[in-house]
Amino acid sequence: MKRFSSDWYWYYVINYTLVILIIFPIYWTFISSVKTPAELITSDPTYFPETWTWKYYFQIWNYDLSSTWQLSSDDYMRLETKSLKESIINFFIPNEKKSIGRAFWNSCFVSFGTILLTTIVCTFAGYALAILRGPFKNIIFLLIITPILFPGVSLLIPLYKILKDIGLLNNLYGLIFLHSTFMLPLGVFMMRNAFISIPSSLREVAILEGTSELQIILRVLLPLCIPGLLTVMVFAMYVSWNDYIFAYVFVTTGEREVLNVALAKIALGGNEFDMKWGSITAGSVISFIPIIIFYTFLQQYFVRGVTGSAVKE
Amino acid sequence: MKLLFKIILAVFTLLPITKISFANDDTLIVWNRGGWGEWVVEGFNKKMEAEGRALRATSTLNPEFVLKFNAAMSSGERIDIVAMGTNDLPNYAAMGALTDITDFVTGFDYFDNLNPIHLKQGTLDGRYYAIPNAADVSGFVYNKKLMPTPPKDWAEMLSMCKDFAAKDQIMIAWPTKNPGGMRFTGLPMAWANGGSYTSDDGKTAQFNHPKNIEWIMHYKDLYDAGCVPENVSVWDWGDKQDGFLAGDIAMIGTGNFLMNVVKDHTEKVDAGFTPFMSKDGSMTSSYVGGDGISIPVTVGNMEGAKEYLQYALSPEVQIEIYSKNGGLPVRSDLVDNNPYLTEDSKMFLVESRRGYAPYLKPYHEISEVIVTAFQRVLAGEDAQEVFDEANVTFQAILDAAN
Amino acid sequence: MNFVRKEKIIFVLMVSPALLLLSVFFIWPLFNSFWISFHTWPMFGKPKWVGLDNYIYTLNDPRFWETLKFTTIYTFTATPMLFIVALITALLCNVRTWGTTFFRAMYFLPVVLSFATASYIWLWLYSELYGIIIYVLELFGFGGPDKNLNVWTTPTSGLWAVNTMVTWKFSGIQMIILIAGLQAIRDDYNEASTLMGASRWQTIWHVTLPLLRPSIALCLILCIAGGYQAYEQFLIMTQGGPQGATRTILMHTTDMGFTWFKLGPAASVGIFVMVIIFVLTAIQLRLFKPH
Repeated sequence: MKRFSSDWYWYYVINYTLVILIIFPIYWTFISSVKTPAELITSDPTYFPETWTWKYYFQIWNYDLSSTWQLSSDDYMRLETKSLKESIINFFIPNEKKSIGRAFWNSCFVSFGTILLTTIVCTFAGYALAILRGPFKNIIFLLIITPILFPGVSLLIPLYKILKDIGLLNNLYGLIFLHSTFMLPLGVFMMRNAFISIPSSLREVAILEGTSELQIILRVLLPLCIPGLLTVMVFAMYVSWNDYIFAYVFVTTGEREVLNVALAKIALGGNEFDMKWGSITAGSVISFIPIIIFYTFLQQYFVRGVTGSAVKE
Repeated sequence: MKLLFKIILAVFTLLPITKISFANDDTLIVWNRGGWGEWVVEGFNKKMEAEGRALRATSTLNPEFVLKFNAAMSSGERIDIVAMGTNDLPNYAAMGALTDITDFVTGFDYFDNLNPIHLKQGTLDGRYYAIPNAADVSGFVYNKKLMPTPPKDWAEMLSMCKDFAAKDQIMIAWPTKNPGGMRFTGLPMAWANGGSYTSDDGKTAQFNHPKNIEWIMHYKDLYDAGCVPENVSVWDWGDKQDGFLAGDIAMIGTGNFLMNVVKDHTEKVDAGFTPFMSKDGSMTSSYVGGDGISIPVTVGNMEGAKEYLQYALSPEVQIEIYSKNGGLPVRSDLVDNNPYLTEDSKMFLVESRRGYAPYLKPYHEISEVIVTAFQRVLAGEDAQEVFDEANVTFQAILDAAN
Repeated sequence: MNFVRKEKIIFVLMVSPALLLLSVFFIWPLFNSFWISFHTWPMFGKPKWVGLDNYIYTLNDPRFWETLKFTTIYTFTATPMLFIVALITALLCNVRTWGTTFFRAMYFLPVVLSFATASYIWLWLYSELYGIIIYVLELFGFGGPDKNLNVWTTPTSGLWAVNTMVTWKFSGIQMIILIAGLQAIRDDYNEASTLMGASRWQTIWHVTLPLLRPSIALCLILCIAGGYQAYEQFLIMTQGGPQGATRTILMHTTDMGFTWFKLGPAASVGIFVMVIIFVLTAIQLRLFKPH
């Protein structure tokens, strides 16, 4: 670094400029979502909201999407602000079947299910492939890694048929299974590596003490694999929360829609002149808040997941 | 920590269970394409309640109707009644998604009063799979505050356009981005002009008909004259309708349903309606669209579905719900004693018998082709070339479907 | 002996959930995809074997070639943009000093957003009347004196608008891969090069980049494979318009399959996509093979 010390000034200028450019869209989305209509829909933009409003959030959280974007400015002003108690109740039990609130909880359900299923399946498979002796070990490992070579989306048509045949079409559980399957390569790879790096003597001691295989995993080895496990969980969340195409094609009932698909209705439904931008920006903020919270605390695992999935290929 | 984990687990396992709706035979599952159907369901439930019966209907409204209906049908989901766009009917009848209701509907005493153009959409090889329920007929709407009298022919339209352009105002706009919208409000002008879509038997594409090209060139002339929004190529249905309702646009192509909408915008809009005319103004035409009502093969309660279907065509719906809210009755025997029909709605009713609706199985596939062709012409490509090219694709799609 | 057998049973038990998922939701669909592509599949009733008809149909379909052409253009315009931005940020973040971790975290941040959300955000930034990007561009005189700039009116401007969004969204992933590669390069190479009197740019060009070869290969493979799978960004931002000129091959597949209900031809398009990605990846692996 010393060699560049004369250039430190430029180093920081360039970096900060890039950071501002990259963060700006996110910042702009957030402040747009709290501006009043008069300030939002103007050809003279302000860089910090003069008055703050949370009405868009209440509105899309509680009202039916197909009518949300039709609200005129007057309707918007008439929307009543609710008491704190009502707001809290509405947060967990949104009024309408097709609101963003419902879609948010659907997304949570799918993501949580994917995390759970992926963790269980990948831990077992990773453990078996790393430590146990068994038939066709290498072939099984290669088989599990293959999906990375095939774009999941080109399998849409047969997946649709299979989901229909096993009765999981138009069902959130179907999405959980799909997301978990396409998480398998990364998940098994990460968990296998994590188990391999643990000295085998630990397991041998446990076996001599008469501990069962399941207990060895849960009590002895898994606590040592927390980083790998977190990477898998974080990535499962990432894959599941951000999926659009599977959810769009396979889940067709309004009340079972996930967040990304529900937002598309607002984005594509209205037009330049109406109130949709406040709703879209608010909806986008709702959709990226969970993942950004995850990212803030578990940043290194995201990075590890990216390098992991890249190395694998 | 463990307890917390267990609670979270339990909540998430139970969450989807609460979403299962327990539909029994007494509840008809009705799929609607648009808002009209919601009102019918409401009316039906009120009637059943008044009669003290257990039969009820629930409505499912689907903005992306085709995708969702395809999915539901191929997974065998129960649907008792479907009200879909008449354009989609030929396709679903051919796919075997709809029940043959010929014997049932031909028994109606008002069967002969239904619009034959409309009725044809629900047929396949002479059998009936659906009958019309709500009519959407297209025509021009103009704002008398900006345009005291509507143009009589294309030449007058162009000269008025130049006047508007000179005042730096917008005379007309159309939804170039929206295939359904362009077809509904654009093509009737070509039809009035003598153009057509396909040959009468529906097997030969005639999209590059010289009269069709004459029409698109007229649109192009208007665009070049400067009375059309410059970015009209990315406009959707809502853009032009809102522009009209805000008093910024003098005339747009629209449907009879706008009669109901303009009532709330009298401050800026004094609406008049006029049909689509041919080049010399001697002929008029319209697109006869709307909803057809049908019973899918995955029906669960056939008797209930039939009852609902009859209700949807009864005077209670056709007069008290549709006509009252700016719609048109699909039965011609309900026109005379109908207190809600205005001069404008009578104009639309006349047009509905004069208009046209192409009978196409691959409706959406062709939509994609034609809207692309319109956009390319408006972007400055040679109309003849583009339409010839589109016609080849059009023909290939027809061949594959028939 | 008994112990080994028990271990084998446990092995099978532990691997089976993964294998079950894999076979139901991946292997079976993969074979099914081939199977469907040789049939016509009606909504109801029995499918009919038609041999290679669906493939012939697809190859004769101008829409297939148009969408393929557009997807290729998109892939080969977005890849360089992504790569250059990723390389710059990677080189900037490879310096060990105060703030590097922060900068890296910020550059990576857009990656965690979904494609769908990123598309909505940028749709707002590009909004014709109130979008901030349009506002700035108009300040610089784009869109003429009338100020009616709209990036979605022509296919070319639409493509570049989407490319910009994709670069913003995705360069973080490439950056991380390149950083991993850079950190594997031993410092003495750079020092040796500096001692020999090379300037910083010469060092980067003649020493760093050649040594980065494997990471660069990985980046390009990911970009190109991702490019051919483009879907959400165009579905949400351009909806395939204007003039149907920004429809990607996957949009064509889904339209074909789920809107027009031609499952057979749609499956054959899916197989073409698979083959294309496979071949391109293989070619690149060949090109970037270490000497």
